[in-house]
Parts: sequence; structure tokens; C-alpha cells
Amino acid sequence: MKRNLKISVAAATVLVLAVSGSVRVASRQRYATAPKSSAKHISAMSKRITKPETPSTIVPKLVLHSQASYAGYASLEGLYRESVLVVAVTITSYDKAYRGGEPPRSLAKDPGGPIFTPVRAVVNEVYKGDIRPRDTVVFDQTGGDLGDTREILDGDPLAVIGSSYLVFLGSFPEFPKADYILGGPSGRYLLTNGSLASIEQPTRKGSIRDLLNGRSLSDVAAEMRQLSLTPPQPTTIAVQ
Amino acid sequence: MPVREELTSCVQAANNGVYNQVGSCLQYSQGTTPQIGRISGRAVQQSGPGQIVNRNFSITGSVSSYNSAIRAGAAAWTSSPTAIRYTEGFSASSDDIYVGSYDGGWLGRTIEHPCGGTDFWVGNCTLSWSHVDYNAPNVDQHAQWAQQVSTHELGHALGLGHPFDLSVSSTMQSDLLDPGASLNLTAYDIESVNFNYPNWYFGI
Repeated sequence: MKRNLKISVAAATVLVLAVSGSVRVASRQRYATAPKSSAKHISAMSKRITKPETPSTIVPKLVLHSQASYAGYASLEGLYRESVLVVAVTITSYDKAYRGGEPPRSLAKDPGGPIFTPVRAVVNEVYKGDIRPRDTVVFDQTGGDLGDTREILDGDPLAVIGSSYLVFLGSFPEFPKADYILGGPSGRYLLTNGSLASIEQPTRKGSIRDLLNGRSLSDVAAEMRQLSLTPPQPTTIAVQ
Repeated sequence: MPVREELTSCVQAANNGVYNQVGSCLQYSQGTTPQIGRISGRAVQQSGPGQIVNRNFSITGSVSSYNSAIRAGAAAWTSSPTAIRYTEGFSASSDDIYVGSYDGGWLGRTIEHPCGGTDFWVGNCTLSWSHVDYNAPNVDQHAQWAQQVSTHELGHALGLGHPFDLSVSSTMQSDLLDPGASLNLTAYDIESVNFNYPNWYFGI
């Protein structure tokens, strides 16, 4: 993925300090998440609690539903090539949620930006990336509980603890420790009895979710192994 | 055809038989001095004066280079045959767009102010204001996305959800698979927003 985020030298310095101060625990430190946003965001992120959280039992006073738009993928190759990690995982816990983004223009009007929940998972199989089975990977998802507020991202809910998924993860070059799921629901598939199920149903015809939904993991794994042996094709974005 | 059936059929056409919006079709029959026009080759009728919905939007955040594209996204709703008239400015009821860099894999994300109670859904009511996050590094991947994401997220701000019918051409599809798609609203988009903010209807 080509990114053009421009970071000033001063901001980059703040970032390095903040990231180096993070004490998040992961079996492979490279895959611990890190902030990629403003100094305020970085400050909040560096204070994250690294101890895994137990599922919230708090009844939220405010339930916010949000919707999002995503990059679309028309082929497994496009999604695979863009991923830094492709792994089958089992979700083990959530870390403490945090609020990201810009400060609201008016606190009286607006609670602020999105709630993110770092999701912790143990790796079962590796299809791409520098990580091994039984390692822990942490990726951020939008949504979760923070204080008395719960955010639910419609169409892309939090991964369920105890469930297994095939996930396509990306990272940001300027923030190499950050992981996120590529394309939201396009980059995460529930694994049940060796088959992939799209998170969001129904799927858009011709989209990657449509192409992978219902396929066996072994078939998809074989296709990814083949992709790993062949050079990238020049075009990965399809025009319908 | 009785007005109710006529208007119901227009909504069914818009949503391909799936009701993903709420409201009363009979609202379309309100108003006086209707005007007749065409949208995408189909006859439409304006339900009458006095139903223009003036909304504000504001842009803030750490990156300003997207502002013109975001304004164009808002203008797409205003320049189309809808009741919506967007003007820029922060207010207690403005749709506020925050441009920044976020940990999510999404391009844009919209959360709506509750219309009442403590739980709410897109499309449950006519929204008073919304908070939109615009993920600049992800949007950077394709030049067209700068405006498409703005139009899409402001569509959420107007109460539109992602289409249940995934085959329709709509700026409200969740995955922007085609960065070369038109920047204009589609007939589906126009019919959907007109269902939330009745001003025009199809089927005359």
C-alpha cells in the first residue's frame, strides 16, 4: 500500500518517543500495536494498559452505532499482496479500549472520535508474514466499550473471543508496529469446520467477500501459497 | 393508481423491495404547486415548497488538503434533486467532519447523534447531526476517494445506511471497489435520501 502521510520532523520525534515508551506485551514485539495519529492520540495510546481485559460486564448508558466505508478488493491476490500478515488466529482477549482521532470541536455536543479495541489473538497458521504459530498478534478494531459508552461498527463487529478467523492484516510504514484489518469485513473471515464465512452478509457480488465466502480454508491456503511463489501482477484494483 | 400505492411502489423500486429506510410514503403527497422533472430519465414530481432541509457541515482536523474534495462531496447532495441544502459552518446541529489519521482500516466512519433514547440506528430517524471521521492516509490510495468518501459519509449523516441490495449502483455501497466510478449521486442515492427527506418522488 502506498501511503503519502506527511509527518513533520517534530511530529516524528514525538512519535518515536511515544512508541519507544510503549510497554505493550506481545510474543513478538513487532506485532504489538502502536499509535499512528496525532500527538494527543499518541499520548493516549502510550498509556494503554497492556494487561488483557476481561470482557466487559458494564451495561453501557449510551450505545452508538457507526458505519464505515472501505477499500474494496476484487481478488484474493489483491488482498494477499497488500497484507503484511495473513494468519489464522483464535481470539483470546481484548486490551483496554481507547478513543482515537481528533479532539471534538465541542465536548458538550460530541463525545469524540471512534472507540478502538486492541484484539489479542494466538496464531494458529501463518500464510504470510514474519510470525510463527503460537505467537500472539494484536490488531485494532473499531468499536468496543469505553466508560459508559459502547460503539458498534455495523457490518464489522468486534471479533468474538474464542472464535477463529482468517485475517489479512496491514501495517503503516510510518508506524511499523501498528496492525489493522485490511478492508474491514473484507479482511476477516470466520472459520467454522474448515470453511470461511464472510463477517458481513450478504456479500456484494464480485467482491472478495463474495469470492471467499463458503470456501474451504485448505483451498484458499493453497491459492495463497501459489501467490507467494509468483511475482505480483501489475493491477490489483478491479473496475466494475 | 392511488397515491399510497404509487408512492409505495416508488420506494420499492428505490430499494428493490427491501425497506432499509423508515418513514411514511404519504409524506410525499404533502405540499402544493408540484413541479415535474426527470431524474435519470424517469419522471419525478416535487412534492412542494417549504420542505428544503438546510444543513451545515464543518471540516476540522490536522490535514486541510482534503477540504475542497470534502466540500465537493457535500455539494453532490445539494446539487442533486433532493431537499438537502448543505452550507459550510460549525453549529450545534452541523455534521462535523474530522480529517485525520486513524488506526482503523476504513476510509471514513460516521457516528450519528442519538435521535432519542440511548440507542439508535442509522435510518431510524431524521438525524440532527453527525460526527464523521475521514481517514486521510487510507483515502490517499485513490484520488477519487477523496470526494467519494465525503459523499458516502455525509449520506450516513443524512440517515442512509449501506444498501441491502448489493447489486445497485450507489455511492452508499460500503466497499468502494471502483475508484473510477462517477462522483455524482446515482438514482438510487437520490431516491433513498428523498425517502428520508421527502421533496421529490418517482412514479408519476
